[in-house]
Amino acid sequence: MSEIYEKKLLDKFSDALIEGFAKFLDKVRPGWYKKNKARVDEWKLMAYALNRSPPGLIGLALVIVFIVLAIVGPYIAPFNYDTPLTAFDRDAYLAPPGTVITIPNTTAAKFLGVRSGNYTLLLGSDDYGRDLFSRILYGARTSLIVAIMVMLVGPWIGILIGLVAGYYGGKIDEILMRFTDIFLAFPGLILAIAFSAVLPPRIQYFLNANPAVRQFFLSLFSLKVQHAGSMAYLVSVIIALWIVWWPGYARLVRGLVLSARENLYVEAARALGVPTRWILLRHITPNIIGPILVYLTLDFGGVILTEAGLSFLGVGAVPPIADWGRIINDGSQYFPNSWWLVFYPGLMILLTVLGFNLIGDTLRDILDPKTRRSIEFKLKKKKQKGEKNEV
Amino acid sequence: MAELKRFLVRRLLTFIPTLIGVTFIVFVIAAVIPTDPARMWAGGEKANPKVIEQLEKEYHLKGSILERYYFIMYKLFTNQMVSPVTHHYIWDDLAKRFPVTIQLTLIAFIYIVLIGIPLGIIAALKRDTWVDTAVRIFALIGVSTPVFWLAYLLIFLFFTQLGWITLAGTPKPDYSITGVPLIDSILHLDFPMLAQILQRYSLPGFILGFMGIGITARIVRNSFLDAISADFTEFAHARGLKKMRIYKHILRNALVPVITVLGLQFGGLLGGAPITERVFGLPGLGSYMLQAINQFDYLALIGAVFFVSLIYLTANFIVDILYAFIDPRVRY
Repeated sequence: MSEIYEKKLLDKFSDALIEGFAKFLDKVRPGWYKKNKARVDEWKLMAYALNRSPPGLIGLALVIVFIVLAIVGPYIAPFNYDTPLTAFDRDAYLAPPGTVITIPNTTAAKFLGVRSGNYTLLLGSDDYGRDLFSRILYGARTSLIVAIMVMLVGPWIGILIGLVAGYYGGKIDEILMRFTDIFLAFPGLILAIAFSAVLPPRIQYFLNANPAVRQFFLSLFSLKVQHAGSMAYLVSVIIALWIVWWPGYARLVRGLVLSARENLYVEAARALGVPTRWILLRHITPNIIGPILVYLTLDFGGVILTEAGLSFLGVGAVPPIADWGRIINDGSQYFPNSWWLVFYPGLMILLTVLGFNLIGDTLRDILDPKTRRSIEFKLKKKKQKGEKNEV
Repeated sequence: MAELKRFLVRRLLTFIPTLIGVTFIVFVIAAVIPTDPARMWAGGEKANPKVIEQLEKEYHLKGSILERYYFIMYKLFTNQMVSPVTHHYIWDDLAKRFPVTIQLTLIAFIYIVLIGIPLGIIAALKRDTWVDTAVRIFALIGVSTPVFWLAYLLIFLFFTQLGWITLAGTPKPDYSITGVPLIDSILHLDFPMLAQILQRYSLPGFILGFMGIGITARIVRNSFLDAISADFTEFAHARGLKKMRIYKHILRNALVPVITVLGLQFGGLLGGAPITERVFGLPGLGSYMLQAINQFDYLALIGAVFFVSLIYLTANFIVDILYAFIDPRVRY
């Protein structure tokens, strides 16, 4: 496999990554590598296809930049997300990008944790004199955490329901699918708006009763303790999105299982008396994981977009939490004079979501075994031709 | 036709349990309402205890779950639900705002059909060329763009710079046939009115339809490619039919899945309405929901959610029936 194409730098890098991962698995489970040699080759072929797909690479780059920003953002941000710079310099009120402000050496500055000196506001500031660049960095963290939290639960409820409904069929299928239909009878965003509007007081109550959970979320979102009340709104968005994000997966997975279970290997496994959950886990799941993975990637972007939309409507993040949708909502009253408050956060949302969508779209091709076979076939043919020419 | 009738009956039978389920979810939203809504409705911290008590009694806030469920559903279905904040009949308010949203959705649909379907057909005919790639990228950008952001950029271009659109008021003619100004003005051949309506609604409609245009183009492309490589097309070629005739065959078969997609798009458009209405200040269902949330008017909120889901359910129902008419295979 590894000899049929000429390796470029990127291929060498991805091959090394895959080899490293395979070696690691081999250490955990001795004998794994030998048994799964074909699988590792398949992974390398996927990497080959990805390395030659510009949209996929661009998407990967965008997503990596987003994740890095979300992780290190709060540490490299010049100011905190709620530091009102107008307290030090009047120019900081709705300052256009590139404004230089001076922070004097006062007790107020020390109290707010700002060092004195000259600062350039890269992306300008808002009506409280908060630095937009810092807020966008914090906003990346907010988006990432909400998206991860939603994707860790929502789709999996749907996948589980779809698996069970598709495999067992009959009455169970009928009941589960009617249940899913009920949730599909609402336009998703409408239901999400309703739930994120009514949940916050209960979440606030819950967070106050469980300081450990509250502390956990505070550190995840990188917020100050006094903003725990505002954070409850973000947590309710997460829960609201759990409620609306599973029915699509239930439908998808059920359809996939229905077609997968007709395969002969499932029938053979059943004839051999393999237990049901074993069939579901070992025979059906690996064969339907491709499309699910594609949808998970696409929906990662979808969640970020929806969360921004909810915050824009005012039912998601509340001030002073830094959230891209919320920044646009607050800045829209100064549009178009203070255009940067709308333009930059929106651009960040666009680039991030586009990144996930580009990856998802590329994965759809790569994870399809047919595409991989055709690539392999082409490469082998090319190589044969090349050899003939040499002779 | 017998099996069509059977299909309709079966479809109706699944419609009813879904509707009951929907009422249940609407009730759950009402049940998780913050602890003391009566106090908020009565005026907050210093509210008169007597008023609070009266409100609690009037809206059965302290009753058992079944009692509250029955109360809400009975009042909603018989149009007796009065908002405790605005003191309007909720259903009447919704009916007043419905034409704005339906108008917006109609215009978004026109964009989707007029741009999305041709783009998809072109992409399928020019498969694997730069045109195809461009449509693909456009579709990806469509699903990745925060529409509220795009809306502000386009407002800057078309309102601030060019002055082509208006951003205030909701044009409404004196006469009323269907209740939807857009359709009324076309029926009356009232072109100045139509121009006013289009000036106000064309950009919001585009923003609402923006995501759907790309999605529709992609799906039309794929179903077209399926139809082009189908057996009946090959057979048509073999029979030596003229190119136009073959295209007619392809078009008919390729557009069947497109109807489903357009039906599904409807839900997306209804869901997207709050954002568009918020940006453009249109008094539709979406802005009604947001207003209800801001005023802690939770009964109006669940009324709106229920109303929207009813529209959506009915739309899906109609799409399914249409589908059964067009494609005989569905009836079984």
